[in-house]
Amino acid sequence: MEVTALSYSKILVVIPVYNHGDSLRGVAEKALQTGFEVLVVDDGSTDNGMLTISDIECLTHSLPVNRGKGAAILAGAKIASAKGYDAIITVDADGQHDPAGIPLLAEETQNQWPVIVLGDRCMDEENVPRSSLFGRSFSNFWVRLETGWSLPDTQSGMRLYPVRELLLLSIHTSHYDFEIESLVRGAWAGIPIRSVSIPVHYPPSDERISHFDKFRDNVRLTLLHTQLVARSLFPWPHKKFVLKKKLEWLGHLFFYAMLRIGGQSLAYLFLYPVIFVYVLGSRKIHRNASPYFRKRFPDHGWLRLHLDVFKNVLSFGKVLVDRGWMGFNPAMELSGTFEDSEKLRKIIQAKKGVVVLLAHAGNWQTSLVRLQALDVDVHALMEFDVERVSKHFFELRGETPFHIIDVHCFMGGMIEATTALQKGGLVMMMADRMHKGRAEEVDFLGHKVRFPVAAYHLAATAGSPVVILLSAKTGQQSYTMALWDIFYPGQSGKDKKEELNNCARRFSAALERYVEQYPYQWYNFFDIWKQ
Amino acid sequence: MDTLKKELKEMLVRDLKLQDVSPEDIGDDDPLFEEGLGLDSLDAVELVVLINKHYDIQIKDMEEGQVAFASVNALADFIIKRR
Repeated sequence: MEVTALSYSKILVVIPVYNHGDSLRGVAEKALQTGFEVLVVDDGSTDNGMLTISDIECLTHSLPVNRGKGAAILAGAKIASAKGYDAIITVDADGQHDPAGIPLLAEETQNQWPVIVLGDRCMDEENVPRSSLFGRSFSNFWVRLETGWSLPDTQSGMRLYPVRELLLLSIHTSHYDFEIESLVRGAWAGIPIRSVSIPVHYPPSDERISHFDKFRDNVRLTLLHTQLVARSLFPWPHKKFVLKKKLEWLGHLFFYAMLRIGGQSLAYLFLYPVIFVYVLGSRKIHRNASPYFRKRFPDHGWLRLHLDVFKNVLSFGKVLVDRGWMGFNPAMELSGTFEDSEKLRKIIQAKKGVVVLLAHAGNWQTSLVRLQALDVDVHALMEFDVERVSKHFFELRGETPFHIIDVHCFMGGMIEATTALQKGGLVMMMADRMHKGRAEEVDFLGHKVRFPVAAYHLAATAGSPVVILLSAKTGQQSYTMALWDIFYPGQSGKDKKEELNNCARRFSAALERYVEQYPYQWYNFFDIWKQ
Repeated sequence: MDTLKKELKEMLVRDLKLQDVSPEDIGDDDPLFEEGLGLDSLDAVELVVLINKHYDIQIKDMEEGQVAFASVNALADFIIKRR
């Protein structure tokens, strides 16, 4: 896959403004400080806000009449196109978006181009009004259904668009719904969507002027989503600019349809040929999954390895189907056992908190529903976008969801995690994938890997135990969950580095036992041995 | 206030086991995280627990933390306010 990067001089920052004259200057200045060219588009403001920036070195354009945010952005895009820019970054004029996020969005274009980059506002759930959290979840859900993309913040107005493609999309909406329609149609056209965490500033509610009219704009959004869902189900191909991700997008919609028509069994049936073709045509899957199988089954030859990968992806496909199935079907219950629930209950009752380690194995997302039954506050320290969707399925089912701490936020969410543990809560996190932070080198399946150690450090400092919780699918509708290890870091009095290494080793040993028993249910799809 | 700042600097060096840094080297306004002292998220964990232990203050979330942990000055201000 060729990667063509974009030159930064081809990016224009567009600030649409409608009666936000008091914050406009601040935003425009900060935007200019990032080094990019800035264009302010006045959407028919009546407060003469444009006067506040008359001495600033940015481009300006004024629409004679208020036509809506979307119309302003498109006008900005047309100007950008005429001036030879390839991308625009939209920033709100009300001060909510910190222009310091502009370079973060721009950076993503160096990884692939064209691309739409969304600024994830990364908002701590406790400080944002429930109605906007719900609105955001709702929006993310519909976008996922329509496009297959799991995104953490589909309503964010701070984003980067490719100019040429944006102008070629036939977008009909021009107000707040523009942001959704441009995203969905962009995805259908094959443009990849990426999310990047950006800093935000939420002024206190009495200072904030929002032009979002609850009734009118929500009606608009509902109508838009209805139309988009209908369009997505209609079997007529979309105009495609970039021929990538076709199968995956098609797959999502196809399986939702299968689930609706014939339930789990029908969907499973269709998994076989679909996954077969998918695995056959994808060198990437084989490259990511085979290093594991080569170590798990050292005596397997070329053909058997391919079969192993197929079984692995098929098994993963079934887990995804199950997740979709549970999302649609509030009555659906998975039968299963949680063998060590008593042990976990006792640990929770000790009120020292507990760190629960998970891995990308079994049906880790749906089995989390079991943890809700325990009398404890559950926090998930995870990558927001992936987990937001599974959390949403629980919300649909009317269950109390767990609280997500975004691992990409300040200090990796560690502060919240520590507080949660100190209050006796349960903090769960993935332990089998390396992200930023300290790690220790240990053996896994006979070769060296680096596993992250933040969890052990967290537990040791807060005085909490660590448990390794893994689930496995045992039948079409049955699962089993068990604690594969329990230990107390930091109490052995050993040197810290050695202690962290010991903990990582224990995790590695537990995971080895798991893959020994369920070799096809570990879904890391990543070569963790590669340095 | 100055004794508090001195205490904090000593606590940072001693409890976070900072090498090659003495309490006098830490400027009141030096950033604690990423630049300046260069602490990371694991140090943040320690700091939350230390503040709780020594001053009986619970840091609620990352917004509080981001403000309180900006520098020794910020930390001292935070502690005085919350005492």
